[in-house]
Amino acid sequence: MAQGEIFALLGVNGAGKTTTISMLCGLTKPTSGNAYLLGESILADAKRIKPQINLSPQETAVAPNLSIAENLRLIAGIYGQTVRQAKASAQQALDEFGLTAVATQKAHTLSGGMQRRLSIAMGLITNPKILFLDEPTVGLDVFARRELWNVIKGLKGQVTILLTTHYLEEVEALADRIAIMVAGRIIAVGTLAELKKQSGEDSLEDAFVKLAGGNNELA
Amino acid sequence: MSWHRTWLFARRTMKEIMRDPVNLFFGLAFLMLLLWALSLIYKQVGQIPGAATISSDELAAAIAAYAPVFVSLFSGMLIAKDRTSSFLARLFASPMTAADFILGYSLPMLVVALAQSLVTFLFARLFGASDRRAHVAWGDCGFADGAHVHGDKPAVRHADEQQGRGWCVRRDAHDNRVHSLRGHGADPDHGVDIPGYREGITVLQCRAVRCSGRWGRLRENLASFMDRDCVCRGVLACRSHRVRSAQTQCEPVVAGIPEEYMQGRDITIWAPHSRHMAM
Repeated sequence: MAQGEIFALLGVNGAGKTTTISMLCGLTKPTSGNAYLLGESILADAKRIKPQINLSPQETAVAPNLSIAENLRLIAGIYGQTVRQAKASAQQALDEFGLTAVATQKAHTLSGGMQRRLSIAMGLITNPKILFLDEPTVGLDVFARRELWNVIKGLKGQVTILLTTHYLEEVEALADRIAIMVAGRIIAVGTLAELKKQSGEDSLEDAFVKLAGGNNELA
Repeated sequence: MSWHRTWLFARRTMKEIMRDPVNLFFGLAFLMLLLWALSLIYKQVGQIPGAATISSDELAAAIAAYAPVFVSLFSGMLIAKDRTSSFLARLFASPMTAADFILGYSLPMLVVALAQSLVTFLFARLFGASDRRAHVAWGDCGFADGAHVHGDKPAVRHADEQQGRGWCVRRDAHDNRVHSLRGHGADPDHGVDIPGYREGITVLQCRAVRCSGRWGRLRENLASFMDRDCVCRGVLACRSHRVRSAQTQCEPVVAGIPEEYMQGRDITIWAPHSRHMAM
């Protein structure tokens, strides 16, 4: 993955997208092999990697009885920011993500879309070099999804993002490069145009079905 | 481990607990309700001659010991919630260590448990006051003139467990002279024949006796008693309800200490919080 790009892991349910993210974040140990983030091994240097990455999991992953500002300050503090720094970062994140008006509201009172937005803000408040977004728009309505896409697009070039999803239109809208994953293996990597060319299809959906389905048949 | 992270996470845990109305109800309000309800129940039980009862202090101690059950419930629920919402996964991906998690979850629970105990004992003080009122009422068997017996010398209540009878003796607060008698239970309300009591006699009162040394603490006046000749004796008994020693407390001593109160004998205890219990 190149610095500042949005890299999408595309696959059907159970393809291993979340497991891959879990391994890269240090939540699950790989049974074999290794991976390197920012030049550090996820097995040997997890302590050095963790302060430089952040994760926005599949679920909303917020503290429900804490206010929006408290959630942000908590994560900033956990990643080592002082009280003053955390306060400033939280205010900046509130402004950037349009959460200022609800800053004192408890997280559980927010709509699903707003909670997702908060979740991503919590992922970004620590200024990570790599941000993992695990199916960030799952369960959201079309408006909330579009809104979140705009937020993620705005991060392009600033943060390296590994995005997992099984929504093809999301990949088309956001990803610089795409990896298609089937049964825990990456079977194709490239830009949207490269994948279409590789599969000989005109749309990502057809290309995905051909590449992923073909592999399944072989398996 | 980082104390800063632990502190932040512990604060978050505390806020999550304290901001949940269900936790507040079961963590604090329910304990008070329980204390209040059990106090009422035991107050009623104390009216029954021969019934075993429990003091409000003991009740408070029991509830304070029971309260951490809710704390463990809260922590279990919070961890489950954090898991299902993936908040825990987010924290696992952060620089937090195992020690940060353990302390961050457990320290606030300790604080909550201590707060529960404090609140329980503070409330027990209130109910303890009502216990004292109840005690006076307990001695007041409803004399016809409606007078209340108060102070350190309430009416003496006797009970005869074998015959299921109980009675009260109303004394003068200054000279301990018996003014009137009243019985209930199997006895008729009037013309009672209460062993050891008749109008006009002076009631001597046993002094509190205490265990000391290796025998441990005593339930005060656990087994002080009066006999029918108005001779007062004290029996020293410790928590095991076993008589450790027996001695007379005041004169004149007409008879020796009855065999049932000799050293090593088990005694039945009822209404142990009574200051004027007779057996």
